[in-house]
Amino acid sequence: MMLPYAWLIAALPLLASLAVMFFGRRFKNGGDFIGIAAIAVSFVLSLLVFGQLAGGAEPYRFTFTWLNLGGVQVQNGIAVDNLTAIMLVVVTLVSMLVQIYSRGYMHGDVRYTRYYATLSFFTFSMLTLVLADNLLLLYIGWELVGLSSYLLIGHWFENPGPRYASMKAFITTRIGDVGLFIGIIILYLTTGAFGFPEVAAGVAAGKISGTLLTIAAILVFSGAVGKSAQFPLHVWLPDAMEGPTPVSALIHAATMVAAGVYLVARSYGIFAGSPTALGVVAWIGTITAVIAALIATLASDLKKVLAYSTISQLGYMMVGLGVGGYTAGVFHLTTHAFFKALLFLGSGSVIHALHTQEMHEMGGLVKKMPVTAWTFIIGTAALAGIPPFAGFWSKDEILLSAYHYNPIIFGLTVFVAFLTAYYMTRAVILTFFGKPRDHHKYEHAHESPANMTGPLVVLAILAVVAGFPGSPLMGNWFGKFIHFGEFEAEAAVPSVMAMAIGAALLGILVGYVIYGTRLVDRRKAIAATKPVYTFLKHKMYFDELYAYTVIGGTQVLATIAGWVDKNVVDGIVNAVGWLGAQIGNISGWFDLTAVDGAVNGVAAVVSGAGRRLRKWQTGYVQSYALTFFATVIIGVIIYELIGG
Amino acid sequence: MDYLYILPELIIVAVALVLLVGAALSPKDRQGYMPVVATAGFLAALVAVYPALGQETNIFGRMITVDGFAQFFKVIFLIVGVLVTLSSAGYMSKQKTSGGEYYVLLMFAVTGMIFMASSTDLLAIWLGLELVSISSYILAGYRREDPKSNEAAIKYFLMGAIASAVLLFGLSLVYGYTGTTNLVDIAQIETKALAGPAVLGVAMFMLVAGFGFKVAMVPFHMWAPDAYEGAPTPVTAFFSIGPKAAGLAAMIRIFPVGLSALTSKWSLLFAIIAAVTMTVGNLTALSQKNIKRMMAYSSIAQVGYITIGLAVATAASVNAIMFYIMAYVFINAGLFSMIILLDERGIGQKIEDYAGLSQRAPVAAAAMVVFFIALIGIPFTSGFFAKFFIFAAAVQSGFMWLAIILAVNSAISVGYYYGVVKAMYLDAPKDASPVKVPRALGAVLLTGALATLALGVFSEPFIRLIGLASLLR
Repeated sequence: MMLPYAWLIAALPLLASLAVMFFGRRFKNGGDFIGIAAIAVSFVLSLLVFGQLAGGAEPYRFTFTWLNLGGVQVQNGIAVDNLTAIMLVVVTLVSMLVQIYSRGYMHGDVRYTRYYATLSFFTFSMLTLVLADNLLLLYIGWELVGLSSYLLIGHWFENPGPRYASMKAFITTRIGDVGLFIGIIILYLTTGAFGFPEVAAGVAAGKISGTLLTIAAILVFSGAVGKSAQFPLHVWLPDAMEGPTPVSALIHAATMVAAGVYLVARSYGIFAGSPTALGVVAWIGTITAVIAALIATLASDLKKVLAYSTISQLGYMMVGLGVGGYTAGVFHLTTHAFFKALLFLGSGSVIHALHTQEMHEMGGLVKKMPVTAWTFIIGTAALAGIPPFAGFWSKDEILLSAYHYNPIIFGLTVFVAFLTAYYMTRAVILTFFGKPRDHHKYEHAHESPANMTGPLVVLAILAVVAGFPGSPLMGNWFGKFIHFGEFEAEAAVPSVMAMAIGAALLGILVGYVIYGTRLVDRRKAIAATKPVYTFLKHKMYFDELYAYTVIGGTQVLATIAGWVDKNVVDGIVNAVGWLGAQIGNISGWFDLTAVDGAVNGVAAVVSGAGRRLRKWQTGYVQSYALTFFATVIIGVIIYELIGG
Repeated sequence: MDYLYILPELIIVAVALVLLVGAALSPKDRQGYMPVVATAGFLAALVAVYPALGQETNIFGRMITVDGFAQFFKVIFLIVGVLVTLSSAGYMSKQKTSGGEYYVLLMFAVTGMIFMASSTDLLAIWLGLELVSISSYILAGYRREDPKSNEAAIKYFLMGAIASAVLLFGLSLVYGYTGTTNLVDIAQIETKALAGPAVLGVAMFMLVAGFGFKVAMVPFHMWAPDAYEGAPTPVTAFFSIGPKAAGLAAMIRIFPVGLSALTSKWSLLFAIIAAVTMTVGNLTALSQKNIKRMMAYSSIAQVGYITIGLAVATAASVNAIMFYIMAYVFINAGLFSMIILLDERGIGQKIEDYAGLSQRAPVAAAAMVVFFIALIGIPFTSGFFAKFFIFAAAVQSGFMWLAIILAVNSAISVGYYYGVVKAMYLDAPKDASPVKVPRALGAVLLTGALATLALGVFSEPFIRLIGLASLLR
């Protein structure tokens, strides 16, 4: 049995992180191989765990009493079930590939060792989050991945961009985390437990219901909104692209941002009790998907296109979960992890070659970087939802669930499928086809080394095949493996499938017509749609809106608070501080003057008046000694008189 | 074989004697091996504790007791030895005085501490105490060329001698009345027989005064700030954890166990001492400018919290004391490793010298914040559980007023700990050059921080371990 050893999967990266941090510099390659070796073993262990569960093994759970506070016992532990197993494989696999890839991408970086240590630490945190059997441990992992993300976005902290972006990411996600924490506390107070099965049982037993349950569920979801960059907290993710590209691939595409989706899936028992909360999840997901896809159509930075695409696709997963398509949401999480990591790593390969992220300075690279280009195209096909690539199957399932739920959400998600195909076609054409727009950069471009293209090829294969387990071709195996409640195969609706394929093909066609041919004059098109263009080009003014309202408002509040602080609180604090200092002084003075004085007085009497006592030689030590004796003698006398 | 049970002590003494010869034979600049050997000695002794684990017996004519309580403190003291040795290496190599005898004295002191905790015989306890004390006097004055160090040593010595005399007098009275120096035998004597005569009350008071001096309870504390400030900083670190913990261990042997018949008498006494010690320690710490002096008062306050456990004197409170000491050893060792570093680098001992440390040594500053948070008693650090268990034990046994004074005091203590944190994080450094943490001090710092967090997150197994080693059930 492998399952009882599942904790090793998380423990190994932690050990690797410590080893790299402390001893990494001693090795020639900054200790990167330690991290890679550890994650490789973790990956193999994850596969074994996955294999056992797929083979029908019972889910495993280990708990122990973590805290015992005056009769209140708090349990902690880990659990490995089917959902966990899928996540373990995804996280360890992408993490391993990213670490291998980073050997090429981060080669010669000033903080190479620190980079690897933090990467391993992130993997540990993410695996802890996934393995947690209760909300508390999940929350700890949740905060640790946030911390790792902060450190890695700000890896090049000499530059203002990464520094600002890391702060923005940390603070924005923290807003959601506060909600999550309050939600956890509400659930604990009502159900008396932190463990997922216990909380779900408490919800099912009606210990918490109605409005309070809806509030608790939405608070938990607010954590997911922050971490998974959902509207209205999505603004941090595009800026997070300031971090190294492999980090974007691992943390900001495949794993950490998916943690929000995982959280909703893991605590689905809570959401299942409140249709309202699920409706909120579905609508927030829809709004996010549409907004982000629209902004992505005009982004000129290759990584930003992918970032908005990630936001949009995370919204898609939320739609899946919100409309009751539990399996569909988790399935899309899985396939998306592979093809989006592929796209990010592909973009990283391009950036590595050209030292620019602007698509206006690219073009024609397919000749110079064939492996990067073709794997990127495979990733695009998967993301756009072209059959039989992975994204098609998972997207189709979400559309199917939405179709049964609400026509407006269904229509919008189909629209997003169209936009997705369009902006990805645009990105591919601008980057890899046409004529090079910056000849100097084009001349110096070259295919990346094998340690970078290798992971691309592996991910490309996955982008092709990862969808099959969830397709009717394999009898909906994924649905049988991961489902909420009883498994029921949803009958495929041919019209939905046709619409999905149609939207994708239309998107590609429009993209090709605009960017691949000269049929449309883009300048005229921009001029004709000026207001919309400006609106989208400015990312719908979210940053400006927040700057004026939240940040501006905070500044006004801060000014007011500052004034209050200065004139009221400071006064009180100063008064208290003064009092404290006075008491301290008095106490010190008492020690020196009263006690010493009394003692000195006694000493003076004892040793005869008139002799001036030198400070430490006779005065102090004698006075100490006298205090000592005086205390003993007076104490004994009082004691005998009173206590007897 | 009785000797097997004191194998750890034998190893330390043997290594100390080898080092003594080594110190005489090797010149000052060739003594870099000494801390390494001392550390190895402590670690070997730690391993040697293992065979005796779980056994209970008396050896050497009931002079030495082998039980869980003794093993627990043996392990703690050996860890103290390792941490202090590692903290001392860099500092001592920079001193003019030869470093050789330093480690020897340290090892003798640790041996004395072990004997204090692992004996139920008053004489053996007293001998252990003297071994610790005499080593400590020399250690306090180790910087011979520094008048402050000399002053500290002489004050400490004179006061210590007086306290020892009082203590010995008290012990002789106990012996004179009961006819035995063995605490187990004393505990057998019936309550009425013991509670009667006034002379035993006098003896008891003398014991409290004698031990109160060693662990710096108010009003027997006055030597401590001077000695802490004047002693070489690694020695201060040692004073703040080693002899204190040993004194408290011996007090647990003597009062709640040996003199349990007199509980009603010393319980109130300890309660008053606890209240006064906490309050005086914390209030006086508020106005300190020198961090070593501040830590001296801080450690007085900590002893005040621990004394509550003595006053309560239940199984729960004694366990709480043991947890507190375990937590406190790591916190103070870690905290002092940074104080030593800044002192060694000539940056200073004043709190204002810590300005901007967060920029100069970010990891170390963060670790120091962990220690301060633990000393205050905020959750997810060992300090929280340490205070919590004492608090809970006090409330359970009806010492509500002491629990309240503890809570108030721990709020007061935020004031001075925050002062250092503020200096480190909010004040601009006078000199922004980074402070590099040498490996040995870094190891102590990290061990301290990790243990502090580990005990704060996973307290459960340690509580169970302490339950097994407990003296009261």
